[in-house]
Amino acid sequence: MPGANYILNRVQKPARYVGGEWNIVRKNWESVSVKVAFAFPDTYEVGMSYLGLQILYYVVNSRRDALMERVFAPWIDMEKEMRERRIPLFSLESQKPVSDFDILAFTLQYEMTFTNVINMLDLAGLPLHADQRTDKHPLVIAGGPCAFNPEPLSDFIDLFVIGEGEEVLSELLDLWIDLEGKANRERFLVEASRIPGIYVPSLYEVSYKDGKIQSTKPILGEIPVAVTKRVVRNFDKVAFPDRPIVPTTEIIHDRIMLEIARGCTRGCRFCQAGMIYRPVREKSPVTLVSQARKLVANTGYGEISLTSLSASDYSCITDVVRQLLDELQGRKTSISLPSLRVDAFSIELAKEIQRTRRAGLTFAPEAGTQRLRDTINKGVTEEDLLTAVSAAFDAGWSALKLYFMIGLPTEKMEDIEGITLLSRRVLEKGLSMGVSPGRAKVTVSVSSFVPKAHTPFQWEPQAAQDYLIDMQKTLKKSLKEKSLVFHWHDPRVSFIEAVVARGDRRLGKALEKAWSLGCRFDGWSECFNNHLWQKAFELTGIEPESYAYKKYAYEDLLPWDHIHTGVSKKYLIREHQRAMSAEVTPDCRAGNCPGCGLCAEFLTEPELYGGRKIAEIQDVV
Amino acid sequence: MGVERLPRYRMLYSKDGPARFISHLDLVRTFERVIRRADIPAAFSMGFNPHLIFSFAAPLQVGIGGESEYLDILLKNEVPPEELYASIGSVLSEGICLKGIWQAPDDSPALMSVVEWAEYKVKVGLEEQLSAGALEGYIDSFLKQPEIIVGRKAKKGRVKSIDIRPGIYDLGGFIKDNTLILQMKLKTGSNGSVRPGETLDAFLEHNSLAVRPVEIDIVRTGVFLR
Repeated sequence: MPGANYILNRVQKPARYVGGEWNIVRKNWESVSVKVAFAFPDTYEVGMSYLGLQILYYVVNSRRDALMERVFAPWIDMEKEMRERRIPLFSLESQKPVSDFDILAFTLQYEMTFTNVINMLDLAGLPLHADQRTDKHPLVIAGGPCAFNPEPLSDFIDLFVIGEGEEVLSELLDLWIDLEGKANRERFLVEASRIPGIYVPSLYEVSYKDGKIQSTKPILGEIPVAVTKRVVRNFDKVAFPDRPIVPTTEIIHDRIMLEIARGCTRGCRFCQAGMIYRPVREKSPVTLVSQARKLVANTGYGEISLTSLSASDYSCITDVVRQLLDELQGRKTSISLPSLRVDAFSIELAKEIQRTRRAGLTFAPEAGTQRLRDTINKGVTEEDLLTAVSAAFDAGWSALKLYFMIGLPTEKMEDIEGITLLSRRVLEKGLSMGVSPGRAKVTVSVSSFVPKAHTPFQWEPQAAQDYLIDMQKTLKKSLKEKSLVFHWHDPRVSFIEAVVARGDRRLGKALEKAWSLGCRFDGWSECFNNHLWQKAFELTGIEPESYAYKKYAYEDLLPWDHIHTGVSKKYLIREHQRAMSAEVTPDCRAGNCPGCGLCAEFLTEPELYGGRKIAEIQDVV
Repeated sequence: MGVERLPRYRMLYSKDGPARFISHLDLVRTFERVIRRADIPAAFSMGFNPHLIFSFAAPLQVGIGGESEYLDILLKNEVPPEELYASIGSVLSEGICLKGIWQAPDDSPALMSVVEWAEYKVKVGLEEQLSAGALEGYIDSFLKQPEIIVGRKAKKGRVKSIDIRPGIYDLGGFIKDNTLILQMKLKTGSNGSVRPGETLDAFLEHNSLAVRPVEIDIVRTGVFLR
């Protein structure tokens, strides 16, 4: 980068842009057949905390014929410097322009990063629209959870990877090398669309009638009608980086991330991750201990985090934690569990792990009343919560965090009041157990429900923004005790998130307009500009309410219906109906297969260790 | 176990390239990881949050290179310095280079408390031609000021005025290819420091010198102990 020192001395956190971290891979450009830039559309600190980046970086760089380098969204100050000095978006490893790569691969973790995706294409000097790009330009691909509704970004992305990228990406690179992809872009896209898990939006046509989607059809006979997600089998043996990149500057999750399991079977009805990462798959304790040993030696981190959607659900968690404690104690390496359930067992576990350091404990009852918790299938009772917090206070914690959502389907005033009552009860529990009033603290974090594709609540509207704002105010007023700290999430951001989460192809022009008006880092409260978003919708003639507030009928064709997760629509409908009558559906590990259809579809079943058996799989709902 | 009895090792290292942009806090973290990777018998502090026992000579500002920086670390037992040099040298992050390591006397005072001054080399492109003679005059006139007041950001966005003149121990310079190279000896340590950037700005302002908006390159060439 020309004048690097000069620019870097003028921006915040210049370490974001220099690379050179421990364990990075630098390859000779001439020696590989395909060069991939992995793009994370948020800051370095957020992107480097994402385990998927480390996994894909490892998978691609393990190949002799390919290389992968990283690129993150430059912060506002850096973007300004880059634009003024005409510095194109560059990768960290070789500081080469993104446009020199063969493939630019985005990960889509959060809808509010979509304007950053567009901005990064622009900073790279690439035409924004897929149909304007030619053989001269890199192929632009995207994956991650938000690719499960790819439509809002379909103007900008050449192809989407649906599901777990470890395998698909390799097949895609093989095809690229075979076909000399850059020279045969159109043929490559057609061939790629036949790889399971690859969705090429330009090969599908959407027709509308009366504003509703009438069909989404492939334009060529040989293209699959629907794209089914990819799933890694034999998860215990899946490629896992034992030499992950260790940043030199502090990142959000600045520790070893050891993935112990993938998927969650709890079946919370609002949760997209719980649906799209099925089936649940665990790694064996032997694998985990051996990986932990290597990771500690190769990184120098003093903390290891056992990650999964629900760590205490891992079959052999106590066993693995004990073995790791024995193994790592001598090296003064601590263990943390970022995702714990609301139960006494989890607290026991947390207590065992955190013998020394007392990190905060977070519980997610999500809703204020039992009826609503049953509606969302949280599977947690007030008694569970109070038992868990008692155990936590008993074990020496004095500050706890509670997560709630407002605007959930069927919510009533008493559910809102329930949030206050429950939070107060938790605080009172602590005080009655002798936690000193000066130290006792319950942080109540309240966000707004956002309906997500492929969940039982995908048909539900988001609650009106005015209502959400009112409810946040009501809660703020009623949670007035000094020991109750209220945190709220801006409902205006959740509204845009809902619009994009259930958006269709027509939304692309609004995203582009929002970007051109200056929207960046919309997930960051200091950057979010609601006014610009409203203007973008106005100028493009898009009514955002029609996306966020739409209540779909089961018969309606949804914008993401041609993307399959393996979870059957019948199951989602049944779960939606059960939600409306506040009926809970137990976990498939509890001995009842709820018949989500995934195992039958993929001819697979959950991979569990420790001799736990799952119920017989039902293939009919 | 008395911490003061543990063997103390002093490392001399340089910091440039990508490591130049690591903040001091991040540098501490980085060295912690380096030491853990090196798998040497490092001593840990007692208490709830065991950490390695380090002591740095003087924090370096983000963006400034360091040619001769010092760091002390306590080990649990004595290890031949050559062994330490090999173990640590092979696991350093890019831009950090170990130049030497030796055992320091157990009773030597903390590095931070004995640092007195530091030497910097500052390079900056000039807008107009400047002769060696003229530069000498500029330097003289700059140093002859009884006081040099600069503003420094304090807490809550307030700016505090301080006189840096007593902390400028020496200033010399020359011109090469229209680049001004200044050598500064500045007060550094736990009792306050003068920064090379503010000294440069004050110098340019005092002599109404215009600089080209290109690279300004600052390197700390040495840290000197009392």
